[in-house]
Amino acid sequence: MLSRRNILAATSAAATVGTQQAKAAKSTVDVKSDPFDQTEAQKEFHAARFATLDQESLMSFAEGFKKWNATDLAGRDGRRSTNNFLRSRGLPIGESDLGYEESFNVLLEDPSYAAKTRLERSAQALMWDRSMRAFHGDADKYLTLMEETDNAGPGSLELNPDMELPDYTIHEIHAQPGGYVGDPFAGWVYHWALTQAFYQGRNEYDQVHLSIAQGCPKPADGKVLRILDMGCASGLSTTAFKERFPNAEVWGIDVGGPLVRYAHHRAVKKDIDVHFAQRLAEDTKFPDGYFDIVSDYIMFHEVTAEAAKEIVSETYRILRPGGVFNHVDIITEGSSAGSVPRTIREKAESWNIHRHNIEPWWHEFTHTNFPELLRTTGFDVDLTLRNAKGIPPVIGIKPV
Amino acid sequence: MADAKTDRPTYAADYIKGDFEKAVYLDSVHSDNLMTAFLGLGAEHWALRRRVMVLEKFMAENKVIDPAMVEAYDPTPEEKVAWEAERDDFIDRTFSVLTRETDAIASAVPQEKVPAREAGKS
Repeated sequence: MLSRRNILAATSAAATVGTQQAKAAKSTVDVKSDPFDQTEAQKEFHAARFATLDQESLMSFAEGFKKWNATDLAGRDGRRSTNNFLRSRGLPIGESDLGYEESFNVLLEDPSYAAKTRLERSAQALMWDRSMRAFHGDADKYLTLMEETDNAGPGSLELNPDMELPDYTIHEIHAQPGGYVGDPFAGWVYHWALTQAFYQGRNEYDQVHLSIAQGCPKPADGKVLRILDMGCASGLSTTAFKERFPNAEVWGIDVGGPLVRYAHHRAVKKDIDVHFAQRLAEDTKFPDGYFDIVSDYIMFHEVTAEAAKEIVSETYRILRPGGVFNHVDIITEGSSAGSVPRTIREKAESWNIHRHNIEPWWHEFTHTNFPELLRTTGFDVDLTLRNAKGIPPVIGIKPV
Repeated sequence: MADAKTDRPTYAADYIKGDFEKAVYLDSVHSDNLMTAFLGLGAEHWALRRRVMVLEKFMAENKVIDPAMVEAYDPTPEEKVAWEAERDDFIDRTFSVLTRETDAIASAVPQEKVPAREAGKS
């Protein structure tokens, strides 16, 4: 069984999930697996656990409460309450011309919606606060752990503390204290709070991140020797790509120094040979045509529309002809999987996320026709793929 | 929290502070604060309940209980499912009052006739 004292899983399990390191990448090896049907050894390898029983229990509560809030208070009962409220005000339940903020303010007059919103925000704050306390409460220990692996392998870590950070990157995204860049333990906190509690138990063994890698299509010629994970955060999808393509040279980049520092620490502890660098996605520093696959998972909705254009152009530059851009994010204009908010309730929820969960570029992104942006940059676009859990990727293929 | 000020490199940078802590959604800031405190108490209660479940497990096995054993205990897959079900039930019975419908009472005496209650359904 996994020891709570060993907070990142034992390296001995690495061999069981096919992460043996290949020092000289000459051929593509593709290890397919089902992220949602893992063996006990795979679960042990992917699991992350807090250092104490109480920390684990507090996060368990946050996870359970978020699930209840989503399914009951905001879900079935919330929809009924909101619909009754809208009817009482003579407002449409279907499509409406009301703006985002106006929709939110109207619904706040419904006591149920206000309570739901209050608890949603309080649960988010509780999730971050208890996770922050876990790591800051033992700061010396966690700083020492990272110092021990900063220069260790496998893989490598590049930190650029003097890098100029664009203002759009330094907000407290998701209301995470310090955001991606401002807290020494941002990577730990992001992994242990967001990727555990946020997914309400569905990502305990990295299932979501593994499904991003497992669902990614290969270039038509089947060659996958270099992969870039843009906006890699705590590196979960980066290592997931290495698990699928153990011979490939895999990179994760992110603007947050504390994020990639933790991502590297985690990968070293799991004996996974991947490279992390603190770099901007719009200025990756990689040579032209370097990668076979460039992937991003929920990064673009946290960047401005202007930066998004630059990042798509940069992606096109660093992909080789025939290379694949695997983009997985929220629904935008032009998506094949749904529509941007149309009803008062949808718009209110969208404003709630944008303004109150500090996602400043959420609306810029949802109103960007992302598939069209890819086409105008030169990509061929495939909108037909679905991965195992229905997260709709937008696939861009650089023409040969 | 411990003071994390240190001369060791942390690679943390200056950032733009969010204003989410200032938001008020209910009729008064005190109502908002009470809801947040109530949620925090729920979390603390669940942490204690979970600890009690670990203690009961060792007691049932007639083990001499070492605090380190409690701290390190890893539930079996079956226990994990059962504990999560208990957590979800605790959350539902504690917070479901927030989902109640609040139509105004329209008559002097209750009028709605409903089917007899079934045994085992509380």
